[in-house]
Amino acid sequence: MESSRFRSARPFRSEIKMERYFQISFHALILTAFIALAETGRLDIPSIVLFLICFGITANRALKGRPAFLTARAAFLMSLGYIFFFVFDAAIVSRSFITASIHLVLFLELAKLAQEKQDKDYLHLIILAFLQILAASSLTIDMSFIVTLFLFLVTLVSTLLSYDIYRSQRESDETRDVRIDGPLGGMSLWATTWIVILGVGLFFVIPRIGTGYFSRAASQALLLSGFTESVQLGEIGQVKLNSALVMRTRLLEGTPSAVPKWRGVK
Amino acid sequence: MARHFAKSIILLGIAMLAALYSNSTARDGRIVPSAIGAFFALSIAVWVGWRLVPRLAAGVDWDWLPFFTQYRLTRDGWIFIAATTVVMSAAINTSNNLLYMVLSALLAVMLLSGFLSGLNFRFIRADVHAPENCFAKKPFQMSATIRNPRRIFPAFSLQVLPVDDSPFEFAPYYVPLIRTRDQDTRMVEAVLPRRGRYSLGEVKIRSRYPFGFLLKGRPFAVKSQTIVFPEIVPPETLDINVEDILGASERFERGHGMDLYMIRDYQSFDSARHVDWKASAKTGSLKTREFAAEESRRIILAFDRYGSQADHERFERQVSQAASLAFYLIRDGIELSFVADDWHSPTGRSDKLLESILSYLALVEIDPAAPRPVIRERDGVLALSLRAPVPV
Repeated sequence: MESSRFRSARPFRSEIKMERYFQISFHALILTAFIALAETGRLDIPSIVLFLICFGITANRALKGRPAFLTARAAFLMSLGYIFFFVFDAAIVSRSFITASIHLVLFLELAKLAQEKQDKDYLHLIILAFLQILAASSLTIDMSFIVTLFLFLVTLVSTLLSYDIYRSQRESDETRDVRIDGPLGGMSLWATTWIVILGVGLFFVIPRIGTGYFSRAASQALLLSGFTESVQLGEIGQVKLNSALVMRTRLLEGTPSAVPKWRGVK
Repeated sequence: MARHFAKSIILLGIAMLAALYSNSTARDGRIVPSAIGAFFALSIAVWVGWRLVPRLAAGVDWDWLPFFTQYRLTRDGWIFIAATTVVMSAAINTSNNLLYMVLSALLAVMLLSGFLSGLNFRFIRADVHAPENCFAKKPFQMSATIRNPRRIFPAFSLQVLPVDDSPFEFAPYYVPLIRTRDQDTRMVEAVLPRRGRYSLGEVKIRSRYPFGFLLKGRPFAVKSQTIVFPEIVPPETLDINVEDILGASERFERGHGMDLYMIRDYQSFDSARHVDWKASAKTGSLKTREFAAEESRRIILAFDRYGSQADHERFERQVSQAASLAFYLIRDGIELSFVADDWHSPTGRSDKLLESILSYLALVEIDPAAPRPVIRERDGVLALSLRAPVPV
């Protein structure tokens, strides 16, 4: 009697295949991470345009199930070759080590996207996307990052859920093609909602300890508020608390204020 | 274990002394001794962590904690923990709120991973139906069903495999999804290596769901029994010539033997294959051949359970030979009766008889005190025994 309570297994028709679901989630993850990085303002327009074009082409090929542009070896050789360009970029084109490094990461990401991928390549790309989010969180103080972070979490959860099923299917030579988009999509949203709820709770519970080990070790790199010629607005800096004498002022005329206030330009 | 523990304590003690020395010299402004002391302390600590800690951890019995026995951290899980640690360090160092936000999200992902992994296994039930009997070393089909009776949560990414000490060997298979109040049933090919009665009490289900950070596996109770008949070896490997003991003489009766019994007039119900054309031509009327009936072919298979424990392998071969003989003889339509000291079968050539003989042989055990099987007839007896032959 008990078995009659259960429906028999459904026929395995698939409208959205497992691989396609994974590819959509995965490319959405890469795109979200890139958007987070682009929002920091550290990326130049040509890099953004070039990345988006190349990303669009590789994503289109992957979603249509077409073969990759590059072999793994070709991608490796190209990445090696880019090291020379990286030096050139840092010294002449961008004239910034950080910008050149971001270009390098984006190039590596594109090369990986365009190559024939194994499971570990997907894992590397997920890690790269995470590093981009990490970099973006360090390079911006804009609260719009929260929206991007939420989108990143949605795509990350969906990608990780489908990545595990996708590779397990491949490892086990599972040939049945289950229609999984509905259940997996629902579970991704459910999980993300709970991650946000838990995350918000943890955000307020985690004790804030600011040790500043590295900043103490590299105090010369601090941005001084007001009394420097190279303050960049919108950039994360630290107000240096120093009681050392920096200037002397004298009231030439008028009544002295109880609380003196200073205004300056950069 | 104790040696490694003692070695670790001693080395870490030395490392601590070196660190204290380094700290002391640093306060005095002596940079070189301070650096040497710090390097020495760190080197010892790293060496202990690299060489001794894994050995100590390997010796720990975690079985008393069910959580640890059911979960194993995967490579992806280690990467995730490393990433979380990096973010935590960065957040603590910079006090950046956005980094704290990312850290909170990562910790939430970790918590949810454990929760969903546990939830995925909740209320899942497994069911396996093996056939009542099968042959040793010969693959057979059994049905395996995994049920998800939950009303809300589907079950994802389940791998079904035999438990570690299970005699049932079957290839693990993967179930990507079982919807709510649904089930997955499939036929699984299994093999049992030896004859006997087997009970399948558990199958293992494991999963890396949801994010691949944890591999959870736990046994699920099932209830299935099967009797494994002895291995049937190919007829050419049997070193017994069955034809030698078959009744090959003919009776002087009509029948379906090979020798000619008589030539008579053809009747309408006779087969055209047996028309004797030469006799028909001579006599001018159709003649047909009739053949003599063969002697009824009957064999008594006598099985002796005698043998010591040292003869175990030979006894197993004898059991397999007896089963193979019974199988081939009955398949060839020979009447067979099986006789042992503790059991005997009726005479016949039916499948039911064969099944009863094979069932007996599936469970028969060697016995050093077993008497010889009692056989009344003298002809057509085929005896299988490990006893030394009696000189005639």
